[in-house]
Amino acid sequence: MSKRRIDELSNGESHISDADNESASAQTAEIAQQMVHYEDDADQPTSEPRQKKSTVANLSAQDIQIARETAELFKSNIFKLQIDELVKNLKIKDSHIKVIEKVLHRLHHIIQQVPEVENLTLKDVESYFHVSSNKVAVPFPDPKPFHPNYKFSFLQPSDVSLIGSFGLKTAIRQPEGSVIDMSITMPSKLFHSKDYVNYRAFHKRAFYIGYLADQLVTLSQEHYLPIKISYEYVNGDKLCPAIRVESITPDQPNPEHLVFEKTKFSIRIIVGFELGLFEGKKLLPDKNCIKVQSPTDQGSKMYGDHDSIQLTPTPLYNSSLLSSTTYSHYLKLLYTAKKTTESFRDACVLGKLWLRQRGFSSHFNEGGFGHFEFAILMTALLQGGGLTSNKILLHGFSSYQLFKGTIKYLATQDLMDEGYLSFTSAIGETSSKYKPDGFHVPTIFDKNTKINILWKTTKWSYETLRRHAQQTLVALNDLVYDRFDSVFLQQCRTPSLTYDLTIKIPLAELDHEKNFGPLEKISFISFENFIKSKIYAILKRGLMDRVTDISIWIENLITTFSIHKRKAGGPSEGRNIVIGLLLNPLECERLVTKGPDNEDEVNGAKFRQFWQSKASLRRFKDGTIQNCCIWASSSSEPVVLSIIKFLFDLHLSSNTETSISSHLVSNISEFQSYVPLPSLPASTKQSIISTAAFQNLNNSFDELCKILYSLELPLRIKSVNPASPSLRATSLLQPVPFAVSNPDFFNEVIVQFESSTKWPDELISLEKTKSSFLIRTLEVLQGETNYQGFITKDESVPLNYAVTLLNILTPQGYGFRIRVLTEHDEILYLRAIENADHRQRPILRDTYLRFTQKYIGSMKHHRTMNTLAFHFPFFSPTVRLFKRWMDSQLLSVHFPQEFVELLAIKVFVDPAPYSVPSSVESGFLRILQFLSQWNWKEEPLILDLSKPVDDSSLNPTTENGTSYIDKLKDNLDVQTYQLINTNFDKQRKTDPTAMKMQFFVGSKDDNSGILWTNDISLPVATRLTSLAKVATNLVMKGELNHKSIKLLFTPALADYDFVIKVQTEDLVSSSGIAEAKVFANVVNGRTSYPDDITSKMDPIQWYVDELNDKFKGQIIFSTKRFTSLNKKGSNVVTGLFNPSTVAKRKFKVSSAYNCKPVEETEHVTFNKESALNEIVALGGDLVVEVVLK
Amino acid sequence: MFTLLDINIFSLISLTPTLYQVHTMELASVQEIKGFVVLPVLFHAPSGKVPKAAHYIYIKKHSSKDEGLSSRSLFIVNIPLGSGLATLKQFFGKHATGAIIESFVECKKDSSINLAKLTSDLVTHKQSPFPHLPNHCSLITFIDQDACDLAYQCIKKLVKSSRCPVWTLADPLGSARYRKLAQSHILDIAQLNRSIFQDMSEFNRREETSYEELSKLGSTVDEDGFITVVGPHKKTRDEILGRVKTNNSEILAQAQEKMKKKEKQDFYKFQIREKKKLEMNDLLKKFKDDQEKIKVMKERKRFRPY
Repeated sequence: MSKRRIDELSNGESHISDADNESASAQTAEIAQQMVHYEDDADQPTSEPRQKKSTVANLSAQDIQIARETAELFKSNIFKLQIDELVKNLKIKDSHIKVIEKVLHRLHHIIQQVPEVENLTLKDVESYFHVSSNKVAVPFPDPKPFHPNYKFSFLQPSDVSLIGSFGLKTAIRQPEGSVIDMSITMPSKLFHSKDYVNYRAFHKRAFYIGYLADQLVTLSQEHYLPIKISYEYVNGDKLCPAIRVESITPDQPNPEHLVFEKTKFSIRIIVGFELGLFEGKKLLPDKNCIKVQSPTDQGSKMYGDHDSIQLTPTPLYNSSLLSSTTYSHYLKLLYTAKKTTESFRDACVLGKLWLRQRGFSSHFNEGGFGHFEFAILMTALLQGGGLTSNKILLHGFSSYQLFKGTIKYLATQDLMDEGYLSFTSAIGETSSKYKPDGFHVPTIFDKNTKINILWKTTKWSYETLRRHAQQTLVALNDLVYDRFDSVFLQQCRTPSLTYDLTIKIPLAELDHEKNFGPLEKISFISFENFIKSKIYAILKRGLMDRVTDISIWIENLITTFSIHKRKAGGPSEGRNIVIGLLLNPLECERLVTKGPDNEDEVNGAKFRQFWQSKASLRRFKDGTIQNCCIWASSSSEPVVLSIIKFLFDLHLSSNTETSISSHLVSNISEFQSYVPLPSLPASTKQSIISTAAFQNLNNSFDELCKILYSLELPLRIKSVNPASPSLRATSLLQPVPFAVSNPDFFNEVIVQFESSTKWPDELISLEKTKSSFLIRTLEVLQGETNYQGFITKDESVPLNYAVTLLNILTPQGYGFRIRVLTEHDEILYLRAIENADHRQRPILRDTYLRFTQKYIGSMKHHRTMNTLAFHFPFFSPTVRLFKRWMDSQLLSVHFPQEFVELLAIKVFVDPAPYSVPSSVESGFLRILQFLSQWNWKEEPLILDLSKPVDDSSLNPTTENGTSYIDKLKDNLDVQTYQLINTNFDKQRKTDPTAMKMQFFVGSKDDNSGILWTNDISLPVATRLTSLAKVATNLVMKGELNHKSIKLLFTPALADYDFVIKVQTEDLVSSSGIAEAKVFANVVNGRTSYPDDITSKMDPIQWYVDELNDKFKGQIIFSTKRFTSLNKKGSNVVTGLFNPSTVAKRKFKVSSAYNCKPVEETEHVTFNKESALNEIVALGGDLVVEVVLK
Repeated sequence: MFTLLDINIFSLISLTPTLYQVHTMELASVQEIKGFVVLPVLFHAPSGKVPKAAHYIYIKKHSSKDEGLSSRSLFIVNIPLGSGLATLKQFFGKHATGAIIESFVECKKDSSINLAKLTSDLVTHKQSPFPHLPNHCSLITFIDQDACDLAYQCIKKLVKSSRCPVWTLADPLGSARYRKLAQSHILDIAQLNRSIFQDMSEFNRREETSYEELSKLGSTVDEDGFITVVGPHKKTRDEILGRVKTNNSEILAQAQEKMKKKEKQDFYKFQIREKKKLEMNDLLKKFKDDQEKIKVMKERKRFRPY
């Protein structure tokens, strides 16, 4: 019988009749109606009017049918096609399946050969295994049987079947190989009805497994199946060992040998019990089934009181036992669902992949929600699942609809506190209903088997799962972007990328004895489960709304163990418990943890008990007196980390001497130390998200604006618009008064006067007129106020050499640089293009672009970024850290700051598949990951820079309609999105290899997409990508530590053709950077401007500017813009030769590069050697040493 | 062209006179290129930091419409970076004693395009203070033709002699250079005021003459008996007569669109049928496009989740 079962299942033929076939067609009409209803929130212009095919004669009817169907059943055509492709791609190779089927048959045959033994005592068992040459140990779960009054036997299994995704044919290709679950059912006559208590059934099974393993070792050799056998806990459940069978290549190959190593498949033999062997009622999650502790345990007397109803429930034990009885039962259920619902299989595959990408599986350590749970949930939702048992999913749904419906259910229905899902697995019955009042543990309850399907899912992993589901739902509802990538293709399992804060604690540091008592042992089964749940409780209570998500898992969990050992584990050395936190950006840096009111004595006592020495009473501004804890912010460590350290020391340390906190490992401080501090008082006590220094600058700016508006000038000033990184809190260095060496010291401001028709109708004269306005402004300012200033020339717009800027030094110590824009400028630049001849046009277009950048784009960009920087508290420190990285890699001189900010904002406005970063670490690493993955050549980066809507509108259904639409008003619409896309296509058509312009960043501020990227050369662009790749590799491998982070910020100088070490001056204090090792109270800030402001400028930047100007096209020069940020103020200038210049060229006066003649021809070639001489000579005293490649 | 490695070997023996010969011998073959005299020079560079190498300066007698200038000027391509008047004076003082330099101009900006000219037709023949030069080229002007000839002859002689003169940079370099550059960016207000006043009064004068011409135009009757109407904001003749604005076509298109909107689209049966047909075609086309896109994505191996 069982042999046949395998055949049937692996051939995909059903032994369950297709009774539902006819009902399927009846449902179609119903589906058609519900579909519209179902999809309308998703949605999209699906509703093509239904019409007859006959109207269109010349089109292929089938094509139309497909086209229309997909538009309706899927999100869009392209989405369907992508899903199809993906599912195809995930299919397991047929050739592999053929091999593995042979293996399964042989294995099944072997199992049938195992001789039966009956009624062995524990002694017999011990002597049997002692005699056996295979040295197999019986995998008895803890506690080991001790003088049992029952016997052990092995009888031929009553059933052998394939279960799991392979049995269901929903298995997917996985890089690490797949596992085939084979279930073997122990015959019921081996058990007594009371065997469910005190591990008896488990011990009997352990013997069964041990005996089987021992026999398999012997028999597999005889039957030419070379295999390696080890034990494994099924999904990490220590009560449920299984046999893992892996292929090996034998030393002496024989043609008879069946080797399946290449398929990367392994087989897991799970031993189960017959369905209904034990009474389900007695094994409900709230029942106790471990009545007596192991006799060695002294505490047993205390807890051994049989009659008390208040016995500690043993939910894990009960569920483990029950689920061992249901392996083939659930397979049948899922098989029925698959038969009745055409797309069930594909939806399972999608679900499996989706869970996998997010690190979820049925394993205890990976959330306890995997393919099986997903499939069962989907089955339950096909039966009903609504509040009134209404069906959530219909049999006629497409795979996309099934998947989305399930995700939506996960996202919107609370299965933990508010309610639970109750269904029945009895085939033929359909009763599935969402019931209110949850059990405070995630619950999908099967009335038939009395199992909570989610018994392995912890509270925190359920919350994480829900968060993922909510994010995915938002992504699937997105009408503008194609979110296929973030939903299915991108994996988000790397802890340092996924979580804002990751903390590791060595498992060995946690005291086993103190916390893990007998009571905990029976309810948590393993120490890992217990400590995870304890940590969760502490964090949840201590951090409250500072965190939005808590994940706890064991790092590098070993899944299999040798058959010569009774149990897995052993030393916990080198293993860590990892905590991943998502922070709430608005709350996480708050300094006060508020507790209950003073009057509330019961809760007050609890509060003080929990916080102990930290708890205090405070009177708040509103007059209330509350229990609270006060924390101190610091520039090096987030408040959350300080709280965690305090709490762990308090609640997890075994004694006062050894503190857990000193063993905590987190990279966050490491990253925060790379965000430069201002040389202001108490800057080390400022939180990383503090913008106090920026605020001072802004105040000074407001002050200046007031004065400017009130000036008596021939034309009044109409608007003063900032366009400066420091004024939007994104500059690498924080603004410090009188810090004139800061490259961003002067803040650009764009001033517009009242409109007038009298501006000269000629560009150069117009600039001259502007200059005279600026001079006038300066004179008035200097005459009437204590503001100082001077006029400089400006060459940022090529060809327009008449531009001047007004530099203002405010009495508060800040610098502003004023640029005048008139309504006439743009017209004149455009006119110049129009009047120019063919040859000149590209140059003039470039001029126009530069003008737009400097005068209009920068202003718009500032406005947008300022809003976003305010909205995302962690944007400012993140972008500053990213700029630090760019600078330390000698890149920042090549990229406009605006572009850098746009790259950084990407992970905030479009974080999928992650959530918005709330720490500098996660933000920074995700920018790098984004850069390492993005394919600029083929994809345009299109950013929606509108202020994001609140999280509350994650579920559009719960919002009232109008306000939701109002909120979305500013968002990027489909038209703009497509326009930008078209611009990109055009751009790439003229330059298909992306040689001229690598980057393309479009937004509502810049539809052209090239405003900020026009000048970035290809080598520089590719360098950015490759550096990001190196960094991301490091992150993916999980190798972040003090050393590797330092490496991230060290430039790879070996890649350049030559490196010039340059002489620098000490500009640290005049740049306003806090010097390390300076006492916090001795801040040597300046209080006045230097007499000659140019004396404090960094000459290196001018040097590099001149070199870049002269050798444009032949050598790319790089340097660090922030000389003062380096240790000992060192800096380098590096050069990279453009390989194409080496080629011979005809001598031309206009080509103007350092060339040398080539023998006897009129050709010349680039004179590298002389160029080096020129560079060094020009540098004079600045050049210390030159290193050639 | 030798590789960097070769040079390193050279540099080891760079003090020996043979190397000097190596350079000169190598250069002897090309003395002239496209009418330019090729003058190799050696940098008087801080030794040891980089290997020494010859630098080639290309010199020609200047030719321009301005006879007075061209007869006493030399046109130079690829003058070593950082060379200024002081450097040149020193060089010519040593190698062509008596050739006294009046001025030296190096073009560091592209001056071939004049934005003023392109944005207004008032500027017709604005005399630039500098001669028009290609980017990165320079012009040395001597006090008279004799001095210029002398200098040119001396250079020719130098080239023929196969000697490689040393080029010493006498202008400020390194930090001093950049300090000066930074300071030069700060403009003197009085001077700036003066130059603005000059330029603007020049501009106003030209504008006025243009006005006058226009008002004349407004009062004269042409051959066909028409009078050109002059608006109050028009400043030049071309503005009135020339340039059909490209916007016109846009306006036209807008108007047409407006007209189309007014037409009823679903009045006749054939219109409805046509519309449906179009919709279907559209749908199908989109579908095919999508299929095509997927094909491209597949080729790029996009559907690999791991």
